[in-house]
Amino acid sequence: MELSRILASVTVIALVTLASGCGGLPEPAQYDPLPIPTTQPLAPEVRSKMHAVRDDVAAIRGLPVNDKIVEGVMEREAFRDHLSARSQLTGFGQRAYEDAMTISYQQMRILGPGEDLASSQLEHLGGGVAGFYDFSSRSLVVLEDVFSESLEGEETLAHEYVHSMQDAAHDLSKLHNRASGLRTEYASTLSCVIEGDATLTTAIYMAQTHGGEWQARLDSLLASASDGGPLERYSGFNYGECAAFVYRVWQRGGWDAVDALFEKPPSTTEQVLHVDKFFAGEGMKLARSIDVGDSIGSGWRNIASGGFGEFDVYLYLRAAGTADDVARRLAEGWGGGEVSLYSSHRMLLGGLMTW
Amino acid sequence: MVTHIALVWDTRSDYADFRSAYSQVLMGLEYGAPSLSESGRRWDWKGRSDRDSGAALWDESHLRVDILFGTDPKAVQTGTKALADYAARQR
Repeated sequence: MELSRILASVTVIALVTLASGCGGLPEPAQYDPLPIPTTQPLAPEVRSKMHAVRDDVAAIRGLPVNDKIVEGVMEREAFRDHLSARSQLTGFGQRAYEDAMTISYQQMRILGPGEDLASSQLEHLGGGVAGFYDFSSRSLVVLEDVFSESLEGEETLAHEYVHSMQDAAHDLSKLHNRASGLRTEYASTLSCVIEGDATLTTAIYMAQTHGGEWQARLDSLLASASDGGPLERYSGFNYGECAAFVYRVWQRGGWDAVDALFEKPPSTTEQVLHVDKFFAGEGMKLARSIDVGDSIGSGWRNIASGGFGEFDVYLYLRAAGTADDVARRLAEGWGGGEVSLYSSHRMLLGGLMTW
Repeated sequence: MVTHIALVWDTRSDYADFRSAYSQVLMGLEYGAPSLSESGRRWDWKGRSDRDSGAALWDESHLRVDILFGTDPKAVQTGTKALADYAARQR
């Protein structure tokens, strides 16, 4: 499943603090984008410092600087308003999809009773985000003083500059569009590569620039794993497990090997979790797709389908209270899987409240 | 709303381990113990509310399980029967 797609459908931006992660039910083919608000220009001294970070990151990553992007500042309140407006403008199909997904997550205990997916995401977004790269408009936006004493703003900035360089080198919109209609984990593993690469590159930059604690963080990246509840694990997957995966690929083949991941990402989250299976090319056993929509009854239809991978099985088991080591062992036996959501006309027309 | 998850396992042992653990999963999800069909291939369960229900179809020959759950018991039953009929035709 693919929370990256869930979050992307809510925000359509790459956020560093909570951003898109792995996992989650598949997203519908289309959603209604809302352009980000106009940004304010950067002060010259800020721009100069930002570009120093950008140039260092480019040198580490071995990708050219993307000088086609728009850089600007947005007030945090404007960003929150944007997210809120975006959720209000969610299209009919997208809303039905989110409602259906909320029910499915509740039944798997990934969401608690009374929780809904869009609200859970909006609670996080807008508060802890320091900046983002919007690949629809090719804009890099900072929300606060990125050069504060905490260095986290600088870390965010480096991360988002990596995304801008990835976009120029690999055309991220084109890659994301390939996910449409696939019953595989492609969208999850593509997001995994994008964020894992940015997390690794940023960790190297911060370690080289600031040393100390940042060096320790880089050293621990290989053992990195997401934590928290199931929803947090989905959100954190790209920055934990995926950073560790990209780190291993980089150790073996350098940045050329990392660049190759964009064209051919791991085929499953199983390969992300077990890099030896990636190197060995162990793919997914195809679960024969059976569309039960017509069988359920007239008025029912498939609203989304996608891969259900090892990480999904693991989190499903964890959400049900299975001990971590047991869930991990059981999920490792995964050979292939997919998930489909079906909804009735009644639900599509009436929404959750009246159904 | 109906969710259909289809899973295939690497080995017979992996399949058997998951099958044996899945009843505990259902308990963890507060569904209680599932009722088993005579053949043991089909499990059915009820949820916390009248509208929550689910079923699992176990196919050892293909190391596969199909899990359906949702908020419309009739739809879950109909969908499960369709899957069972399909599986029977494959045997």
